[in-house]
Amino acid sequence: MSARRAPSLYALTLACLVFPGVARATPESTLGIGSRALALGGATSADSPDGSAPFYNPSGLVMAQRSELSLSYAATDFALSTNGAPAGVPALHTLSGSLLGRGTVLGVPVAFGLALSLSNGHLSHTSTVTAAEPRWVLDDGLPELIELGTDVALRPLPWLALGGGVGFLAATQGGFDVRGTALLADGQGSEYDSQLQHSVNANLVSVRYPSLGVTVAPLENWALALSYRGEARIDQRITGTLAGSISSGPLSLPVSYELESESVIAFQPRELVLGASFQLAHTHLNADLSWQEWSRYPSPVGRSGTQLTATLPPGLDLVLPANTTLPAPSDPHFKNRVSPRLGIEHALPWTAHSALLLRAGYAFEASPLPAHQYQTHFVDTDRHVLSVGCGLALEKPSALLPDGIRLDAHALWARYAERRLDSDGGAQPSSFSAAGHAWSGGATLSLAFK
Amino acid sequence: MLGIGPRTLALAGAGATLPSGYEAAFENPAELAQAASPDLELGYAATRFSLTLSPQPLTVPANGSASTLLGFALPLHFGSQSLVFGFAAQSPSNRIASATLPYAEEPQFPLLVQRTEATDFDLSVGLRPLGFLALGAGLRGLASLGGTVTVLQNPDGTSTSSVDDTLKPVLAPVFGASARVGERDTLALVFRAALQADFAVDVAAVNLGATTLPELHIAGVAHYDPLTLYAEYRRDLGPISLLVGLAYQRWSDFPGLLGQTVQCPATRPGCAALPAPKFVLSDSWAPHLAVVWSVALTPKANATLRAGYDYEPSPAPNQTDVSNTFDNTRHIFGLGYGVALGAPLIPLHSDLACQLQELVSRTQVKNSGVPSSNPGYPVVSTNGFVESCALSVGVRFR
Repeated sequence: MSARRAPSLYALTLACLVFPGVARATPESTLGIGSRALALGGATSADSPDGSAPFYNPSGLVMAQRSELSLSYAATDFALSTNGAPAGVPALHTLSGSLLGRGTVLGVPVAFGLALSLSNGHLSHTSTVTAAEPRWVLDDGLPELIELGTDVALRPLPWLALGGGVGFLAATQGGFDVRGTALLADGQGSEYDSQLQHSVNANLVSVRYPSLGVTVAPLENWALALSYRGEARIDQRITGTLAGSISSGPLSLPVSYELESESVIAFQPRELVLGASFQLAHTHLNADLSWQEWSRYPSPVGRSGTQLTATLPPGLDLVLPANTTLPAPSDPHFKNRVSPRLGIEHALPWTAHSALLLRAGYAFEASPLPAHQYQTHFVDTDRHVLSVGCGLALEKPSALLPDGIRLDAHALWARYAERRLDSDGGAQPSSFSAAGHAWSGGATLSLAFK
Repeated sequence: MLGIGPRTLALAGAGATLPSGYEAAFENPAELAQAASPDLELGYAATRFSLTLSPQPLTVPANGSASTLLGFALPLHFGSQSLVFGFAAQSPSNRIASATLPYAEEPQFPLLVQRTEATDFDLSVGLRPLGFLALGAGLRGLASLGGTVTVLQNPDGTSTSSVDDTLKPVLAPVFGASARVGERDTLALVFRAALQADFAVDVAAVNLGATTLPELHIAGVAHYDPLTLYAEYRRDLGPISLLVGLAYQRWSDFPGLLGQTVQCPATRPGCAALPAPKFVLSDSWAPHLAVVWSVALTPKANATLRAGYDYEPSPAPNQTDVSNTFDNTRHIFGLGYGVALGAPLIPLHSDLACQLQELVSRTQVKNSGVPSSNPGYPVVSTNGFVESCALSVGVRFR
């Protein structure tokens, strides 16, 4: 049996910053929420008179004719490959809901909205990214985050709607200390007899970003829109210190240990969208052009450094872990991108109080990832997104039901164009191919009230 | 703990029998049913602590907090029946919850300070199935954190840390009922389930060369509101309403502030690791008194004066050992004023309230085994004040 050694540990301090964010680039996350909008390829910035407006264009809230309550579910499954092998990108399930209140103040139409989106049942789930292996960095290991948006809109003139609001993300930040006496392992679990205590100083903080929108309707069947969404960045930082000693018989070995780790685990680029909507009889034609500032995307690779210091007495042969320093952050050199989106919706009157709605959409999203990288092995490709959908709208179905009920469904297929990427340095292959596709489907139930 | 808006703040937590706008989403969802039109409200609240120990010249650090208030009431009509949704959020400037849990010997007021540093997020619905009866239900929400931190040495000599964490929603239901039992009498009953936000982060083995530490389990309770049952009676005397209430708070379910740092493995269930520090609380009963006086300023403007009192007994025991986890019985006084404008003026309403909580001085004598270096040795008295104010402005839609 080994000798019992009792190191005294005084302070192990670990400070942790974990900010969930919005660094997602799945078809659904870039095209929005709600089956109607997804079926239209996300081209709804000038035509979102419903609870999805906080995501696309807050001014759309006040274009709604009635107050509304809606609930959506969507699932996305990926079939992405790297070098011909499955990338194993997990599926994403999203539950979202919105509440839209509408009325007038001194004759001016006013509306407010609350939208909430929850992925895979978590408020957030984040994990760090490593540089060594090829990874679909914008699709794989996404931070699964809660998104909460509150917006207000008004229509001071019949042809002008203005809106704005704030999006909220949840995040944790803080640190903890550990002190006491730890016992060395004797092979029989003696380390679990360690007399350790901890204290905590941590916060669950909110990260906010602005959203603004304006809709101009100069003619009865035309609407133009401009919307803006601010950048959000979620940093993670861990620091730790340990100062103590290890004693073994007559020997006492002072030990000092430090740990530092930093990474950006989520990033939402600043976005500007210009949109137009044209209505011809029962048909809506929509087009959006979005600009996203991906050039500010910071590398999501975690960086860390550790330092262990011990003064070894003569004759004691211990191999200590090597010390490392925290490397400087690297710039992945992502590029800004402009994405066109198109959508069409046709209403087929069914009965006097019901209509069938048919929808289709298309979007092209160029990859912001450069073809040549240094050391990292990020994977992403250009993406063509095709979507279809349908809806059933009922007006005054019953005296006991809301004034309007709409059930929408969508299906979406995204093709990730084949691409070859190169990486200089690192231990993994310096050239690799990527391709694949993703499927998504879902439904939205909307209830409208006077 | 202090009310979720200026109206409940002024009434020192009473008001379950009153239509308090969006604040009813927390106070009593049944009272949402009284909202006839959409109402949107924004506000600001601030809290300041002055917590002292004597004879030791110590002031317990408590930064106080500033919060933004956001709420709405939205009636939605199903035929002749109205469902009124209410949303209330009180969010500290950039925080949702805070877990400031120092070692037990450090002077602290966790039941007082920490509970003001969490976002209160309530979504409720109210309806009136019968003319005299209103019912409501809702959810209060917060988050719990779980995760792992692993530090690994790479073969090339560099180190990598991997962090994986998950925030899960924590929801606590709220139910309320209001009944008009006479021309001038109203009764209300509100049930709020306990709301507990935990955190648990496991720090995987740290290699020190000479040894490897056991996995560290950094866990505790970031926020806790006890199960509460509150009954209130209101008597209307012309423009004046008198409110009497009684709250039962089941603090005995409180699980303790911090968890056990080293947890015994299945192969060694009787290990000698230090247990989690204990902080056992007892249930409490808190009486409330409040008065509301409505005054017509002009035919188009009304004012409301509010005042309230609450006696909150402390659920915490005397701190006679090394622990200095303090809590005091409190006298809570609230005062508020509100103005509401009607048509043809802009349909705005604004409320202002302030609240003073006086901590009843409490003397605690340390046991003989407590070291003299303990901040509370040999005897410590705790007292202080908590001051809060809130202002909100709302607009009622047509």
